[in-house]
Amino acid sequence: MDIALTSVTKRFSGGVTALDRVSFTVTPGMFGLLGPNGAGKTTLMRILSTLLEPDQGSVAFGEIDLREDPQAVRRLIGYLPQELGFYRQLTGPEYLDLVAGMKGLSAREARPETARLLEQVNLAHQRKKRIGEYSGGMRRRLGIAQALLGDPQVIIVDEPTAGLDPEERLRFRNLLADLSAQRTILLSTHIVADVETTCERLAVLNRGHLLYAGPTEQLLEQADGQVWQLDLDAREFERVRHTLQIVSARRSGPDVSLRVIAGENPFGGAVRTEPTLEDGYLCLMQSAGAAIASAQEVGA
Amino acid sequence: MRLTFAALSCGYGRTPVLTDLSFTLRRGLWLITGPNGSGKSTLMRCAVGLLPPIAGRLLWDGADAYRLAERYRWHLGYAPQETGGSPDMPVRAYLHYLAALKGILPARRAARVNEVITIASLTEVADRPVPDLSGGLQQRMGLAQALLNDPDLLLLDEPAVSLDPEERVRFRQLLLDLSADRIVLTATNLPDELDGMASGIIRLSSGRAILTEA
Repeated sequence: MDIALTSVTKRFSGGVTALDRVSFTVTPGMFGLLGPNGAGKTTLMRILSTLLEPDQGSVAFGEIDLREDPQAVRRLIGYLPQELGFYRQLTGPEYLDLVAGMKGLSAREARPETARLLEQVNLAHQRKKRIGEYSGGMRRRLGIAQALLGDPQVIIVDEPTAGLDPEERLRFRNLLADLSAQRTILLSTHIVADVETTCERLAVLNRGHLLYAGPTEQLLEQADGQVWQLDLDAREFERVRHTLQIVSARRSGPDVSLRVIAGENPFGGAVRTEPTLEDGYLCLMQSAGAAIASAQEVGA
Repeated sequence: MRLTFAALSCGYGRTPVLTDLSFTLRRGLWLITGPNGSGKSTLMRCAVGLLPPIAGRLLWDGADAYRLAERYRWHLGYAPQETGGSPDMPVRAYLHYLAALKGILPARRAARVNEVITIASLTEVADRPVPDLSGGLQQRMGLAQALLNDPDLLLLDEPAVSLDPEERVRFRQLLLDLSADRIVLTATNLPDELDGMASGIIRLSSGRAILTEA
């Protein structure tokens, strides 16, 4: 199912424009959402989850208009927020029964589904444990289970891997990838590598504006020909480091190996290298920052 | 500067969470990684001086850190995962207050507070109340306070968890800087982001620690 956003705008009291005429389409499969803190990502996800109303613009889930029939949209979506308030005294199955009730499922409908979901997120063997005794990873998985109740066509996930260890993170990523075969999953995260490995398409927000929406591959191209590999000795590195935009660096003995973003070959001695999504993202943000700066100069 | 775990076991009560740790850390960046519940925070607490070893010793330049007590802590900066309640004070004033608690001489306080504000890129928000800061800024605030005494040993527990992609790139550069002339020990769930820069990785599993040096 496609989710089409058209000129979505949201202002908060105090004059903060969290989203400014944002238009793009979230396509089926895994769709990434990137942007700095304060870009408007969470506001966007809360609008899609019917928790906030946009001031202007429209959102359509397939044929359904969000404003005309929010109840129909609620039946379509599952939302996993960054922080989920849990009842610490409940067990996993009890919590899922409660959420099923809130989603309007009858107990008879819910029973087999909660059992299946607990199996799917690998919590079936912990059914007697209270949520208060869960690890961070178990809470995350229970969060996904509640988002999946009612078999939603759309799943919205905010920063899912914070607090997960590397193995849990991989398992979680694979679970989302499995689910995305027949659904639309919107994944918001700060871990660019997670978007690179799982999402075919993505959107980038900055200060409430859409900077990019399209194939992941194409964002990499933003950095084409601008990423360089370069080895410097420690003294030279200290001298020039603040003149370079360094993506990563490693010390190896007396030398420092750098990955640098630059329009031209820095010092002539660097070797051009393939960009990653992180490089593409940085180049995009950089050109956006330059655009904002020059607009401010014009304004001043 | 040298931090040695000498046949050290640590944990709560008499039950060790980690057993028989033996390795020495020198200048550079060191990562601690392992599954949730494997003892990352326990190891940090022991290194910070909050959790005395059940067996073995923690040595700073060859002397028992738990006997050095105050003289060990003076070398140390610690940014825990959660900084706990943040007071309704502007960033700069709060750092001043912490500098006083850390025993930094009044004559040096203002200058040092300005330095850590610059290092942690907090200049633009230095006059904003701490509770108003975003997660990423709170985390940089945690780093700034850990740097107040210019520590030889910097301990960071999941320091990048709330940082956005650009902040993460800047943070990597900052770690490279900071680890050039001190020991930086960082617990992380995302070791692949930093392993290229690290002098070594301590992997925890089933109560044991294995150090792989780069």
